[in-house]
Amino acid sequence: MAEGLLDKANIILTPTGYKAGTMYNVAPIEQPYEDFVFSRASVASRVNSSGLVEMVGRTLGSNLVQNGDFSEIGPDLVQNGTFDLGSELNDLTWSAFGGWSIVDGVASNDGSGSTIVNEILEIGKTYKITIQLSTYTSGNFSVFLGSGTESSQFNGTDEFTFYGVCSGDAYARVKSYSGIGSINIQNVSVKEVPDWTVTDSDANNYVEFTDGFARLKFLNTSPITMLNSSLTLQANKNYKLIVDVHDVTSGAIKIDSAGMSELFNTEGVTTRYLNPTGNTSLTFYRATADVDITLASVSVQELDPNDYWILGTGWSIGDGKATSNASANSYLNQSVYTIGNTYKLTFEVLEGTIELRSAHYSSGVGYYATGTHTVYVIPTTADTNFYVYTGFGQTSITNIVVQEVIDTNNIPRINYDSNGENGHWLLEPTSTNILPYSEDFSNVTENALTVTDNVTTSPQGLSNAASIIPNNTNTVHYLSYPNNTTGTVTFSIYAKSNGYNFIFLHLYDGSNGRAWFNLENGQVETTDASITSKIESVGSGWYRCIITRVLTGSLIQADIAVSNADNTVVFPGDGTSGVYIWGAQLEALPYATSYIPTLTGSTETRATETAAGAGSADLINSTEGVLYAEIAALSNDGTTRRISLSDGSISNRVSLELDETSNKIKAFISNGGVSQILEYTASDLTQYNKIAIKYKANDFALWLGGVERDTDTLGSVPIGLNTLEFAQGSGVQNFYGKCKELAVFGEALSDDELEKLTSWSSFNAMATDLGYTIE
Amino acid sequence: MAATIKYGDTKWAVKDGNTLGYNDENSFKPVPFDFTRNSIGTRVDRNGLIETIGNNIPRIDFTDNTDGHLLLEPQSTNSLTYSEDFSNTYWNPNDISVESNAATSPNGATNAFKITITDVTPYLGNLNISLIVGNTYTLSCFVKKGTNRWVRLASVSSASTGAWFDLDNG
Repeated sequence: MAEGLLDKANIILTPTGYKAGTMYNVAPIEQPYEDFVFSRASVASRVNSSGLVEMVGRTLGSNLVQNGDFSEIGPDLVQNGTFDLGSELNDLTWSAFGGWSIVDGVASNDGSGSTIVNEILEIGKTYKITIQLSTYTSGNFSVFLGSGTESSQFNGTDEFTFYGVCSGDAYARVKSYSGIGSINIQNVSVKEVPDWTVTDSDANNYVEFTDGFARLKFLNTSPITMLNSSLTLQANKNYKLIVDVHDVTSGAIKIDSAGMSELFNTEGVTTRYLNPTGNTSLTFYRATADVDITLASVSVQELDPNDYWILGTGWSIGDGKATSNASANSYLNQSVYTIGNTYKLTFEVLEGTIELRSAHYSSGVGYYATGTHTVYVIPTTADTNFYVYTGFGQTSITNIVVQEVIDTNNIPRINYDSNGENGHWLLEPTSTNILPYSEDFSNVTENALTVTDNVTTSPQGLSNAASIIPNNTNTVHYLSYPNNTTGTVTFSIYAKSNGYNFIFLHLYDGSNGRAWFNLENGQVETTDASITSKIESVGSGWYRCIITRVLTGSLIQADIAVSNADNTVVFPGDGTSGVYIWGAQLEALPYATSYIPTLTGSTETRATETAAGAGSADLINSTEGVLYAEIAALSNDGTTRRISLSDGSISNRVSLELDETSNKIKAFISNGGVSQILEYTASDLTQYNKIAIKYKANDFALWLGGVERDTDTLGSVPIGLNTLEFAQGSGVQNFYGKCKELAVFGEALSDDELEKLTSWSSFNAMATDLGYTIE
Repeated sequence: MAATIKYGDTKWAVKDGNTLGYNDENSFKPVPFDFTRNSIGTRVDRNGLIETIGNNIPRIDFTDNTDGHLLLEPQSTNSLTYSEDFSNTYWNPNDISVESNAATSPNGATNAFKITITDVTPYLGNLNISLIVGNTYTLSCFVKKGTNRWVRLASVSSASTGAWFDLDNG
């Protein structure tokens, strides 16, 4: 507003502040502020100050899915995965029986066949006992781990080691078989091998535990010697098994139980994902004869340890994904939904195909092959219900995110140009986007092109724009929306060149209605006479391409086609070039309104916007004053749009009207239903114009662009003015358009003041407001 | 009503079908001029580069000065086609080689051609255009020195017609 006039205004509204249901006035600056009451029974989109399309009032809730990337993993369940031995158990408290005697820590045997014992073991545990005869004369000896586990016999003075599970009793024993020898009992070593057992071992089939290694020597084909962990794997759980094979001299070992079959015969660290069908121990068997394999470590961790996911038949978790082996028709589930709400569901199919079935979704139903998918769904059950069918083959999925779409209505919109400038209040009529899935073109009928969703950054600033790439066929390459709408419709799409510089939009009602849009220079080129067209640059190479048609009869289809040149319909694509698209919209209006996303398979309606109830009798002088607005029409659409001071009726009012006639403005000053009417036809009301109505008894004037355009010197002023609204005074003939400033003055300003009020302080500001390009 | 109308004087603004005049007494008030041109046109932009302007958009031309001026021209037709593609068979090179995209052109793109003499009778001719005896024609081309100093524009391949241009001293 021109300098010196701000202080004279009783009410000023600029695009400054708002909350749900309220547009704040910037004047008066003291209570009562008498702000505008705003309503719109829906959310709506705007261009924000960063030049990006965003939904006003729409937010996404937090991710409801737990462990959606299947990365959660429990602790290592193998207690002694590195085959560490326990501490030395030999406490030197050996007792001698029969021909044995102990003197100065040396046990000597006279060959009568008896034992020395030490109660240091625990039945059921595995031990390594190493023994050496300090002197030897004759005969054989053996060691016992408990009364029930005896080693093979040994003699001489070489070191002898035996592994076994203690059984019978808790005594470690050395037994003589009619031999003569001596043992330095300090040289007897007894250590536990925690958490591992070896079953069915013998002299040729055993496991050695040495210095953090387990050497499996299963030299024969029988018995079936086994190395068992103390761990029990639970049925239908998912585990990550890591085996470090230190050395492979010969043969192979395996895990082979409860539906698991994993072979190990190469050196190095191997990761396997286990999904046992029954409870089972972690056991290594021979897979071949003549096994000599040394393990350095074994680790087992449970996947999805909190059991967030419910796995149907054939599903398993591992390697950061859930995989179905397609052995059955089944679901992958997590209970996250509230039935009937709308959710943004994002997931990545790594192989195969996922189906969202109509049995569980009323929107978002479809098949989703390899790739990242964003689907807005309305569930009819609480579970995610990712479905696989046996015919799909092996299918894997990961990175599952579910967020509720939360809408808050009645939030006013401060809209900006695509460069983030020129903030203004945006008020629009209700409109419905008739096209479903406005951002999901995989749901649209395609002809001779490839659609890939979510490949580049859209005007929304998110990576959710699609590419459409014509194939090599010499034909028309297009997406088609069948529709039978009647009347006047406007079809719009955001598009950006991706190798080809042209798209054409087609509203077909039995005859052609097309326009070619040049995405390189932002020009509308060939246009059929049946339509009007428009292109708007929205930044970053994106354009909103728009066509409007008064249909003859019913619409048959709305098409988005790629072209390689102006006025070219049929051509063979090169298979790599195409265009990017986002945000398709078809609405029953003669112009395109702000983008209305149809995230699901349904149409979506932006509700009517109203702003009213501002001001009061104290702020609005009925005797004289000025109503001022800097506004732009959305279109010359043949409707009446008004901003008014009134007493709540149409009888006493000062109304500024965008008339049904193109570019005509009118001023109504009504007293008791008798109106003075001033009017002027402007150059272009779809650009910002500064308009003022001066009212005073027998002194009325209409100013626009710094010039007094019309006057009336005979008439009465309204009575009882007490409210300001974006309508005609009685809540109808709503103003739809853009408003940069609205003000009410309590006195009839001078001509000099009105000239300043309705003009600009600089050429550039004037040219910008009026939609010119400054050279 | 505004007492004076001004236009230009370094204050230029254009849009489809209009160019903006003004009155600057007291403050700025718009005085738009209607404009029509049912075709594209070219201009020299503020950076000195040739630029194509769309239908019905006025041309503010900056040839040889930074103040700019409204450029209004009569209708004219370029009788030559493929004016930027000398490799097209429409053109007939003789004792000359043609290399595309060899340098930056006056429109700022790398789309200028380099022609190089390969024998004793070099010319890049056009045999597809029929000139009418008695009519006046103007032939022009943007040229920049490569390795040869001289270029001749002529209507026939004869030393007696046309003009020689010295690309060293302009």
